[in-house]
Amino acid sequence: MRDDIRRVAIEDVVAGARLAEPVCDVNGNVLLPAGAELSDSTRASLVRRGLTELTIVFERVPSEAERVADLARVEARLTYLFRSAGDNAAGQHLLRLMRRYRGVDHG
Amino acid sequence: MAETEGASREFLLDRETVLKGVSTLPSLPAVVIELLQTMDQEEADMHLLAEKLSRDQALSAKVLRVANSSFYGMSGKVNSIADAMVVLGLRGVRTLAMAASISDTFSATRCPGFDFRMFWRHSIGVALCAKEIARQCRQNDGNAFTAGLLHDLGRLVLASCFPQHLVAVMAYRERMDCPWEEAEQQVLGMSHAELGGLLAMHWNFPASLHAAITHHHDMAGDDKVLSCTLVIADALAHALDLSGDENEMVSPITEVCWQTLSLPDENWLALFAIVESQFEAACESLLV
Repeated sequence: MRDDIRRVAIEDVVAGARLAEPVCDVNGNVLLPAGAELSDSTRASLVRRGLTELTIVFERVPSEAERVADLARVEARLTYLFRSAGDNAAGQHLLRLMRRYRGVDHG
Repeated sequence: MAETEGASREFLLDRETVLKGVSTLPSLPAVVIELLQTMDQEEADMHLLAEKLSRDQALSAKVLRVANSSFYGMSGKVNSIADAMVVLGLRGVRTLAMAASISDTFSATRCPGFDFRMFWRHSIGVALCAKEIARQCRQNDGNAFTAGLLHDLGRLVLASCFPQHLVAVMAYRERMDCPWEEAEQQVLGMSHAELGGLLAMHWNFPASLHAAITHHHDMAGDDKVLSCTLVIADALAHALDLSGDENEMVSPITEVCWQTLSLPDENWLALFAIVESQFEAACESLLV
């Protein structure tokens, strides 16, 4: 599942929007990296620098089927990654933490 | 070593052969060795080191390029090595100079099937994990980052000095789907940690870094916390799937190591998020 990425007029960008591409000044220096979340004040400072458009990520809400398939894919990858980690308490603890972190912890 | 399934004795290595091999590698610049020695010193003359590093123009330029990259958030503000010492500190400059020199040393290496980019992505992942673990455990995070970045130096020794041996290790690992350490022991009779330790000795690395590289799998070094930090950081980098290797594999971790760090679950979860948020910017900065 892929998010939508669109160019948006800077006055239409709301606080909390996420940049899809880094914002650079005329010398190529990165002002904000890709993935940065915009606040009202950072947006205002970009307006002052003369920017008129930003490339923003629009997260697509997955369907239930996509969500289930995604969780199954994550679970399968974790099982594969940990195939030689052993069954001692430490290895199992790390696997449980990774499941929780990736959102596939079933309790 | 007994001959085992699928491994011949053709590629066995011994200490003497490895030392002969690493002696063919170029030396690191004297100023980098001097910078590394400061890892084990209480105080260092930063002005003198900055002046010496500034005389190496190629190395200084590389340090400044990375210091001004998005990872450090100092775009365009670091104009000289003296600036870098102030902004990034001695530890930061030392890490950048060392990473640039080592990457130069091995830049001409060609080993079929060995993916340098993947290698460095894993090393950067381990460095970030080690730095964050050290912070949580109130240890020296700069030294942990450096040790993490260099923990697999022995693999570069193999790729550069013994490429056919490394090809044999990679083939064994693929065939047996086992951890690297196991494949190396079966094919070479020694591990990349021992190989890296021998290069660290040849390059006169400080004792703490030498021990960290040599013992990043067996925890036999004097600094148990740093050894455990590297063991767990290595496992985390694999578990977070950072290198881009389809065949990624989490190595076994020991109970002793996990208990030595003894961090609460919430700290681990926060640490995973920090490492993932910094990882791509760190790669962009440190990988040329």
